[in-house]
Amino acid sequence: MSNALEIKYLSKSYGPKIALDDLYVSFPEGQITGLLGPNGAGKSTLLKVIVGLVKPQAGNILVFGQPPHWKFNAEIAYLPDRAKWYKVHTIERAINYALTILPGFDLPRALEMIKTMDLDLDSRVSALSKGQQASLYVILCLARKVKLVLLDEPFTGIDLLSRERIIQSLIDSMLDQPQTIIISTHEIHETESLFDHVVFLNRGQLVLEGNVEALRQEKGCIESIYRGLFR
Amino acid sequence: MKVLWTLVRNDSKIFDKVYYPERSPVTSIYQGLANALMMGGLIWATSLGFITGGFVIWCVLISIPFVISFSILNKEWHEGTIGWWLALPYSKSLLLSAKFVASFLLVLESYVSILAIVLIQLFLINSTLPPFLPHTQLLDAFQVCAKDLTWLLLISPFSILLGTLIVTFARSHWLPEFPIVWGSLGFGVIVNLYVVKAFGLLPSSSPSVHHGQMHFISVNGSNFLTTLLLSLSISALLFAFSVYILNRHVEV
Repeated sequence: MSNALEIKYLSKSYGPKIALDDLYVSFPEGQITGLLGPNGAGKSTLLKVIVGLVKPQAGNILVFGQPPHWKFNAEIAYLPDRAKWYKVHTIERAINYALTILPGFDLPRALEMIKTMDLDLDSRVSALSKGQQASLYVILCLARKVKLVLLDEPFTGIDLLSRERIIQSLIDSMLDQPQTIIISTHEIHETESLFDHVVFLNRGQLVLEGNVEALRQEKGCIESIYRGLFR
Repeated sequence: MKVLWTLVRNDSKIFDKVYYPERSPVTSIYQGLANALMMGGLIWATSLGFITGGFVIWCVLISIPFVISFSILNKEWHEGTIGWWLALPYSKSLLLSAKFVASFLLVLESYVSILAIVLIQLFLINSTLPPFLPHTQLLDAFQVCAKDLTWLLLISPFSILLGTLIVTFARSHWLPEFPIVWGSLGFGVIVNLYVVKAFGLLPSSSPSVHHGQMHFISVNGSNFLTTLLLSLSISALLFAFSVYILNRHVEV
């Protein structure tokens, strides 16, 4: 199987704080990969490097064989950590904006997801609950026909039902159009059934990676592996 | 072109009404106190003769483009949308061009509104004056205001791009701390006023409206073409430098 991402000896620090430390890892194409680790493990920094928001100090990274560049972001749907959308938008305006601005945005699919997630097109973003906002952000990413989807903490601070809806839409999305999806999350219990592959990071370094089925057979469920690694 | 226009439309909505009601009571109180302090300072300085009404009007008019462009760009960080914005698959020059066009349209709207308010006030004053008192010629007043407006628009690309540069600089590695962004707003306003003054656009000594002779600004030793070329040349440099900083030295 070919790799969507090849990361070699990647290092990044913010002053004295090391975010990525000589990281060497790859992410398989066409699978959902869980990017797991405690706070400060370097998960968000890694996703930011992929879309070019952060420049590494050393090492290199290839996204489908190319170094990160704003042009290749046309093939990447990225949900930033603690993302917020323009407060002045209604959901309808956000969708229209995305349709023009985000390449590969699939309007019928977005409208279908809005219906599934029970969102009102006329609602203003500023009036949405956290769960509804998170659902909107996931729609803005998953309704795109792109090669790579990066979701940085898509479930943070949202209720169980919204979380389940988002997970269901991720499953539907993979069935409709196979993509490479990387999800950074702390909600391992709810999401581990989604993952085909997992990457565990700690202090900017790779701790463990592998196929989920193989790891389960060898070491038990992903949550218990996580506990074993970081307790 | 469609992408640029969509970005411009989005950027120009910064002053939408819903932007304001979300302020916390503490922020509103703080802002009220800051405004009261500023107004008090202005009244005090005016009463002592340190500044004149003409100077205040000049400062406000000259600062409008700078403050608008500063707010439009800074909004991406302030609202938490910077991650989406910087990850868009478009060059930084296109993203900043959209901010520039949006700022310019808002500046134009602000200046035209001020011009309209002045003319409406003149019309109302005229219509209430007794017939034996001299009346302001509205056409003359319009011509004078339009001339000032042209000069202000001429200089506005510089002020807009100074605002853009100050925000990108303040958000770069070079100045990473958040409070410095707001400090840089004051610094930028002062730099903007000094440079515009160097361009030859000075405060008017007679800002009162009488007989269509009112000027918002006084043009001293500058001609239209030289100022236009100078403004565009410096603006191009500021734009290129802002793009460079955003590309190389801004991380989120």
